[in-house]
Amino acid sequence: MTKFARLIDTKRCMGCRSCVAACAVENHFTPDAPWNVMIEYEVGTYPSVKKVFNTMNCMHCEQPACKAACDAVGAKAISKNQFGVVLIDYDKCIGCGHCVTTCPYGVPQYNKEVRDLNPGKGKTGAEQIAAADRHPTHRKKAKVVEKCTFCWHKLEKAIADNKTDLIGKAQEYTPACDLVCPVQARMFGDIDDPNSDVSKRIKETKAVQLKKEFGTGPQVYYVLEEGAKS
Amino acid sequence: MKHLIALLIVGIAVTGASFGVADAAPKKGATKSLDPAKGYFHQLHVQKMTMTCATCHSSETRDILFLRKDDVVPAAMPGQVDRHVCLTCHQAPGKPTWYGAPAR
Repeated sequence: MTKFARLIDTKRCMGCRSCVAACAVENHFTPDAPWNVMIEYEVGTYPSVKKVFNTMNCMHCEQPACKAACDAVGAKAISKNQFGVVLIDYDKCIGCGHCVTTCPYGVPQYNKEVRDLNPGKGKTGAEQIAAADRHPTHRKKAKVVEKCTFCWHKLEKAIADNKTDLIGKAQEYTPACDLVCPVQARMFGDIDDPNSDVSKRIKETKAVQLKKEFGTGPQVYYVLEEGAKS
Repeated sequence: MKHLIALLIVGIAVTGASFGVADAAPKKGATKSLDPAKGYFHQLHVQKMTMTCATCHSSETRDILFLRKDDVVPAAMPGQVDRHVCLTCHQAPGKPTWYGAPAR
């Protein structure tokens, strides 16, 4: 079975935010509801200090707290598919904000309004695409919650084309953020395949999940600087 | 006529059940309100569970590994919520839980 996971190497990351920009362009997220955010902080004691660049996106947890909360209120707008990707159905979301509150990683974004990406400068090409012609994950709606989808529109295409072996390698089948990293600090692939590049590198680098104490089983692994928060 | 009466009874039953569900859950269009009087989350914790604000909110909390780290905290709000506080109830067996079993 194929199960997608991501590795982020904070030792390699230089904080350029290419991944953030790529996500913004690919998923045209609005400034109020970012799907990918760069968090930076310092570790160590002067004069031995280091800066940690830690990008955060949806962790696509094995036991997603957001889904549990959504199911509990009866909306059932959040699902986790057989490939491990957690998705929100905008048509089912009631905007109650339970997922926003329960996610320990602060991932779900409540989108109050769909604003122009470039206010006063007209709509961008992506904004001019009719909602019906967009992938369901890109049909922006006000007063619903949205978040990173692992670029499901690309993964879905790879699955349909029976080319899952090219995920993490080919441009059209790889999440935008992982594709653009100039220092190869990001890797994406099938964690269920012990021979996949991502599986091997997670093992080699002893990458860890963030906030394991919540027991949600996040599927994004981090190689952390010494002293970095986990 | 019998069919009409049966349909009426079924209709009334379904409508009643719908209202029952709607009372128990947030309604379509409900917004993420931070107002303790209106927000569903606050209704549960403050009004039903009679928890104080300081149980969850702390002005000293600064969880850096949080995607919405720049969430604006209203001046009247007593600080951000440390999600670790949630674990005290929502990870315990036999209680409503959003989080899985504690990781080893």
